[in-house]
Amino acid sequence: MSEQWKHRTAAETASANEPIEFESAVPKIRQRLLKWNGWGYKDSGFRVNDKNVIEFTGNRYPIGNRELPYFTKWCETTFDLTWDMKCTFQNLPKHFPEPILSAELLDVIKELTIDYSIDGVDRLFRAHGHTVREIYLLKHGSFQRIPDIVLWPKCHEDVVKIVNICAHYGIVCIPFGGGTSVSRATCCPPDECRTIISLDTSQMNRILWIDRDNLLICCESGIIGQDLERLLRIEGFTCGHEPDSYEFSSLGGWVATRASGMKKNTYGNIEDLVVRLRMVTGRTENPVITLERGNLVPRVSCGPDFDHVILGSEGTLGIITEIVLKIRPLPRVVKYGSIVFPHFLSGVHALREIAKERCQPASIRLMDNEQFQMGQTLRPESGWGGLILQGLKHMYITRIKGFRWDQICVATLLMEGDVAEDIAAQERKIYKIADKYCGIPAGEANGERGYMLTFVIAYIRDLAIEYNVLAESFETSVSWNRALSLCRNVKSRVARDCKARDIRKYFISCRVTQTYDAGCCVYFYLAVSYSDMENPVETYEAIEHAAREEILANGGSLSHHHGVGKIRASFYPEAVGEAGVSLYRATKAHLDPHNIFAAGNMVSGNKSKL
Amino acid sequence: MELNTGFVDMLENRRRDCDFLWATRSMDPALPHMLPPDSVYDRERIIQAVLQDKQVKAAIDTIAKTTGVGVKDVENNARAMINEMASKADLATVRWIGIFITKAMKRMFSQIYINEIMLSNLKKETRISQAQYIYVPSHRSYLDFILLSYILFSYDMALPNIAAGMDFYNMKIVGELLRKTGAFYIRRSFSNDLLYKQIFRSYVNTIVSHSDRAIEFFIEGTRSRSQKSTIPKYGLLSIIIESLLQGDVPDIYFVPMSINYERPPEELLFVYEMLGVPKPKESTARLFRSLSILQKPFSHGRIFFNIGEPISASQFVDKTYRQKKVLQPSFKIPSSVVENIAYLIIESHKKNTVLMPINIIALLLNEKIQTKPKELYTLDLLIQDYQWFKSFVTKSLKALIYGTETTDNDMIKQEILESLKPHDELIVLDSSNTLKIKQRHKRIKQLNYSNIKGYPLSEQTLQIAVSAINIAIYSNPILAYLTEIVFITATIEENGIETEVALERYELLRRLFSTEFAMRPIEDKTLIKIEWEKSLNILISQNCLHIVNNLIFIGNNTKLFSILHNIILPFIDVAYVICILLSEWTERMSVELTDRTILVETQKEVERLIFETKDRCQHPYCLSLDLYNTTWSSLLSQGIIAYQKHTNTYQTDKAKLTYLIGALLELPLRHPTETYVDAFPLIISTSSMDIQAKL
Ligand SMILES: Cc1cc2nc3c(=O)[nH]c(=O)nc-3n(C[C@H](O)[C@H](O)[C@H](O)COP(=O)(O)OP(=O)(O)OC[C@H]3O[C@@H](n4cnc5c(N)ncnc54)[C@H](O)[C@@H]3O)c2cc1C
Repeated sequence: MSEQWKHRTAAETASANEPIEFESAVPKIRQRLLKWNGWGYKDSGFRVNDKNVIEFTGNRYPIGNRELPYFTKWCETTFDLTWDMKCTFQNLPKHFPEPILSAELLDVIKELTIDYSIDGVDRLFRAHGHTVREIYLLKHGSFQRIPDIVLWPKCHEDVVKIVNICAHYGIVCIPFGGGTSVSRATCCPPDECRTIISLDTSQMNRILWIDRDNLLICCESGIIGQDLERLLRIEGFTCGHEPDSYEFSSLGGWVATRASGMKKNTYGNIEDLVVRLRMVTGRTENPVITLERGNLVPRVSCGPDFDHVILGSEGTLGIITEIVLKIRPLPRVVKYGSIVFPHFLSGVHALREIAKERCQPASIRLMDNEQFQMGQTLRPESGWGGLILQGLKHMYITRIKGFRWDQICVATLLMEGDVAEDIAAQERKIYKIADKYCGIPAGEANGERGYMLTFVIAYIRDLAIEYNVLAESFETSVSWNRALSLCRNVKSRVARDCKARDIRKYFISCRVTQTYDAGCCVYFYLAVSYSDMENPVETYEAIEHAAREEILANGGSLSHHHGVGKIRASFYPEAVGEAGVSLYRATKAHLDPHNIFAAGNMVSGNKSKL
Repeated sequence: MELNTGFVDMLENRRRDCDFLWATRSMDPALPHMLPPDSVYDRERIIQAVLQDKQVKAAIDTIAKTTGVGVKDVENNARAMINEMASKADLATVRWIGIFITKAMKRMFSQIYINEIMLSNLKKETRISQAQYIYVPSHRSYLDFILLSYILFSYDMALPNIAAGMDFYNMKIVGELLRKTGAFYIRRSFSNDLLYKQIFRSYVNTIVSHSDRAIEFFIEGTRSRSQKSTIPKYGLLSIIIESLLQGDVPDIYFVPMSINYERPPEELLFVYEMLGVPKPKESTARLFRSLSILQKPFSHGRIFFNIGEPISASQFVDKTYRQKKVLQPSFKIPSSVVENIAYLIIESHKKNTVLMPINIIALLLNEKIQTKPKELYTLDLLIQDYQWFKSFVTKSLKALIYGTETTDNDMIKQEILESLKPHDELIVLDSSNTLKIKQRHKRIKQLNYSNIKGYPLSEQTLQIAVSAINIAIYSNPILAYLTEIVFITATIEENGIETEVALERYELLRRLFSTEFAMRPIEDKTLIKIEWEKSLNILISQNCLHIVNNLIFIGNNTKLFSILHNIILPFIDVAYVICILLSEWTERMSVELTDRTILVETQKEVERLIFETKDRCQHPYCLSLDLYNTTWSSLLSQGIIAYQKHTNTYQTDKAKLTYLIGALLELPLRHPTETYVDAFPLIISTSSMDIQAKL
C-alpha cells in the first residue's frame, strides 16, 4: 500500500465521515519492529564500533549512521568507562511462566472472536514499561509476574465484552497502550493470583471522524502519536500533542496518565485537548457501564467534571476507548531559535519573565550546563559545523561576553505561526527579555538540533546499561520562586547520597521543559555508574526516592506528567491528602467493584467489594 | 580515651619557617560553600539584597508611617545599619594580621594541637555538594575566634563570616581590621528595634545562602568564665535554620569545635568576674596587651582544638516542616527543633573536649584541701592520685585526654610537670616537692563600688576566693564528662536508699542544675532514667556504689566517691541558701527582690557562712555570681519565682519553694569536716616571690 493511496482513501473516507482504518507504523506483533529488551526501533540505537567509537545506527534519526567521537569521550570521562567493560545481556527467554488460564476461560475468550495470544514473548512485551528497573530486569533478570494472555479488542464493544467476562470469571485486566509508561504502571502486581489479561489497545486505533468546522477529531484510544500526527498532517491539521514518547505512546495512555506534550504552550496539555471521553468501567451489573458525557461542547458547568476522574486514572478505573480531541490547522511557518545564558539562574529568570509576559513560543526549554555540555557532544565530527554556538563565535561568548564554559546554559525555542512577521515579532519580544538577563541569541541551527535530539536521547539508556550505568529521568512541577532552589537542592541531595553510597561517578542534570503562569516543569536526568555494586537497581531507586523527597520538601509536585504508578505510590497519600485517598478508594470501589482493573497504581491493595 | 592520633601541633611548622614568607605564601583558600559563581554575592551585593528584602522594605514603610519620619531617612538609617553590620573578606589584611598573630601565638603557647584528621575530613566534605557550613566553637576566651581564624588560614581555608559583638566594633582600628578578616557586627540587644531586627535576619539569611565562606558564631553567646559549657542561645541559630526551612540552601552543617586552653589568657579576669569585680571594657590597648609578645614565652601552655562530627540540619528540618513552609509562608520552625540542634552542638562540645593534666591536678588539689589539708601533697602522692583518676576518666567516662598511656612514674611525672609549667603563678612545688598554692589576689587599691556586681567582699575573702576559684576553673572542664555522675553521689544515703528515691532526687538535681551545667532539658522520665542508669552503672563498676535488693549503698571506693561528691556540694549549697533567702526575704531584707538584689544578698550571706559557720557553703566557689544567676533562672523556669510584669517585681511561690527546700534538706550531703578557710593557709605558698597579677 503506498502512502499516497492511503492518503486518498483516508481523505475520502474522512469526508464521508466513515471511520478511517490504516496500517500503524508499529505492527501488532511489536517485537518484529521494536526491541524486546530496550527502547525503540531494533535498527536504531547507540553502539560502540570496532574503533571504540560510539555511533548511532539506522537512518531514522538525523544522527543516524554517524560516528560520535565527542560523545564517546564524554562517556569515558563522565563515567570512567573503558569500552572493554561491556557486559552481555541475556537472550530472549525461551521459557515463560505458565499462564494462569483455565481451559474454560480460554474457550470463552475464543468464542469472543477477539484476537488473543498466549505466546510468551507477546506476554513479556506487555509485562512492563520503561523504568530502569523494568529494563534492567529484561536484560539481566526476569519478572515475577507477567500477563497470562494478551487480547486485542478492535472497538468499544469488544472492550465491553471483555470487561463483562472479567467480572464474570474474576479476572484482572490491565490496559496496555504504547507501553511507554515510566512509573511501572503497566506491570503486574507480583502477588496477583487471578488470571491477568493484558488488554492491548493497539488494534483499536481508528480515526472515527474528523470535524473540520469545529476542529475536532474522534479517535479510538489505541492510536499512537506518530500515526495520529501523520494522518492529521495529510489532512492539513495537527493535534499538537507531542510528548517525547509520541512515536510509540497512545492516545489512551496520554489520557490515562495526564500526559504533557512539548508544545503545550500552543496546544495545551492533554486535559486541555480532550473534549469528550468514553471509559468502560467495571460496574457490569449496571445496564450502562460506560462513563461518558452526554454532549459534545467546548465547556460545561454540570457539577464535578467526571472526565477528570478518567484523566489520570492510570488504568485502575476502566478502559478508555474513544476520545474526542481538538485539532488545529497546521502552522505555515515553523522556526527554531536558541539563546545562550551566562548561567542557569539568569536563564530561569528570563523564562520566568517570558511566562509573565505570556509570550512563550510553542516550546521553550532551558538546559542546565551539564546537559548543554552533553548535548554538545552529540554531534558527528563534521557536518554540523562547529560548535553549538554556530553563528556566534565561541570567542565572542567567552572572551567578550565573559561567559564561562562551565556555567553557560542554553534555551531552545520552537515557534509556530502563520505569517513570518508574527513569528519575527514574537522572536524580538523574547530576545528583548532575554537580553535583560544577559541572554544572547544563538541561532536557529542550535535550536533545531536541540529538538531533533529529543527522540535520540531515549536510546542512550540502553548503551549505558551495557557499560554498567543506570539512567533515568524524573520530573516535577514547581512554583517559579522555588524552581532554582529546587534544582540546586535536588542536585545537592543526589551528590550527597551518591557520596554516602560510595558512588564515584554519576551524572545529574536538569532542565526546565515547560513554563506556566505560576511555575514550571523541571526534568532531571540521573545516571549512576554501578560497576561492582550488589543491588544496582535498588540503589538507583533509593537515590531517586531521596531525590523525590527533596523535590517534595522544596515544594515540588509528585509528578507533572509521568504519573504515580507504583514507583511513586508511597508518596500518593501526602500528595492528595487523606480525604483524597479515601475519595479515590470510594471511586475505585464504585467504578470497579470487582477490582478488575487491579494494576495497583497509586493505591495498592485495593480490595474488591465482593 | 587516649588520644595520640589525629592531633598535630600546628605551631611546630610555624616555628621552622619564616613568618613573613608563610603569611604571604601563594594560596587559594578553600571556600566551603560551593556556590555557582552567579550565586556568590560580594559585600555590595549582599547589602543590596538586604535593602531589597521584602520584609526589610515593609519594616521601613511601617516605621516611616508610625513615626512620621520620611521613608528616605529611614532608608538611610537602614543603609547605615547594614554597613555597620556587613563583613568584608580581604586576604591581604588577613595575611598582615597573620604575621602578628603567628608571632604572638608562638610566643604565648608551647603547642597548639589541632585535630588534623577531622579538619581534613571537613575540608573534603565541603567539596561534595553545595551545603553551607557553620562553625560553632565553644567559647572559652576572646582568643577563640582568632585561634580558629589562625587555624583556617594555616590550612588554606577561607576565613568565615564571624559574628562579633559591638565591643570589637567600637575599638579603634581593630574594629575595621577584624571586619576585613570576616567579622560582622551585632548590636547587643535589639529586640525592640524592628528595623534592626529585620536587617539582621535578612543579612544572616543572605550570607547563609550567598556567601561562599562559612559562618562562625558562638552558640554560648559569651565566653564561659567558668570554663565549662553554658546553655545555648537560640537567636542566631534559628535565623540560620530559617534559610534551610525556606529551601535557600540544600543543607546546613553545624561543625562543633571544642577548645580547651591549658591556660586561657583571661584566666584571672574570669575569676574576678565570677566574683563580681568589674569586667574591664575591651579596649584596643588591652586586647593587644593580652596578646603581647612581651609576655613570658609559652606562658599559656597548650591549646587543644578538637572538631566534632558536622551536624546536618536537614535531618531535623525535615520534609514535613519544609512543605508546611511552602503552603503557609508564615510558618515558623518549632522551637523544639532549634533547641534540639543547639543541644546537639553543646553535647558535641562536651564529648570532644580534650582534657589536660592540669584539669585533673586541679581537681585533686581541690579535694585535698577540703579533705586532708594537713597532709602534705607531695609530688609522689600526686603522681599516684593522678594516674588513678586519669585512668577513671579515660576508661570509664571515655574522656579524651592528652598524654600517653603509661604506668611509668617518670613519664607521668613529666606529664604533670609539663602541665604545671604555665601555672607557676598559681601552683608551685616547694623545696620539699610539695604542692603549694600561690596567692593570686593582689590588693585592689581603689575599688570602685559602683562597678561591683555583687556584694563588696572583704579583702580577706578575696585572698582565699581568688586562688580557690582559679583552681576551680581548671577542674571545671572535667565536668563535661562528670555532671550526671556527680549528681548521683549527692543522692545516696550511707545506709542505703531505694532506687526510686535516688532517681527522684536525681531528677530534682537535674532540673535544678540543667542551666548551670548546660544539660538538655528532658521532660520524659524514661529518658532521664536511661541517662541515670548509665551513670549509676559507671559508679557501680567503680565500686563507688552497690545495689542490694533495690537499695543503693555507698561502696568501698570512698576516695572516688568523696571527690565526686565534693564537686557538686558548692552548687547544691548555693541553691539551698538562695531558697532560704527567698523564703525569708520579706522578713529579713529591706530591699525589693530583684534579679540583682538576689545576687548581692546571696553573696553577702555566703561570705558570712564561710567565716561564721562550718556547715554549708564552705567552698569559696559558692561566692560565684554565675551560680546565683543559673539558679535564679532555673527557679524562674520552674515557676518557683515568677516575674510580675505589671508591677515589675518578683513573686515567690511559697508552696513550691517549701517543697524544694524540703527536698534539698533531705539530700544526704556530707560536708567536709575541715573548712576551706582553715585549710587554705596550710597550703598557701609563703615564698616571697613577687606575685604579679596579669591583665
Ligand atoms: C522516552 C520517553 C519519553 C517520554 N516523554 C513523555 C513526555 O514528554 N510527556 C509525557 O507526558 N510523558 C512522557 N513519557 C511517559 C509516557 O510516554 C506517558 O505516560 C504516556 O502517556 C504513556 O502512554 P502509553 O500509551 O505508552 O501508555 P502505557 O505505558 O501503555 O500505559 C500507561 C498507563 O495508562 C494505562 N492505559 C493505557 N491505555 C489505556 C486505556 N486505553 N484506558 C485506560 N488506561 C490506559 C495503562 O494501564 C497504564 O497504567 C515518556 C516516556 C518515555 C519512555
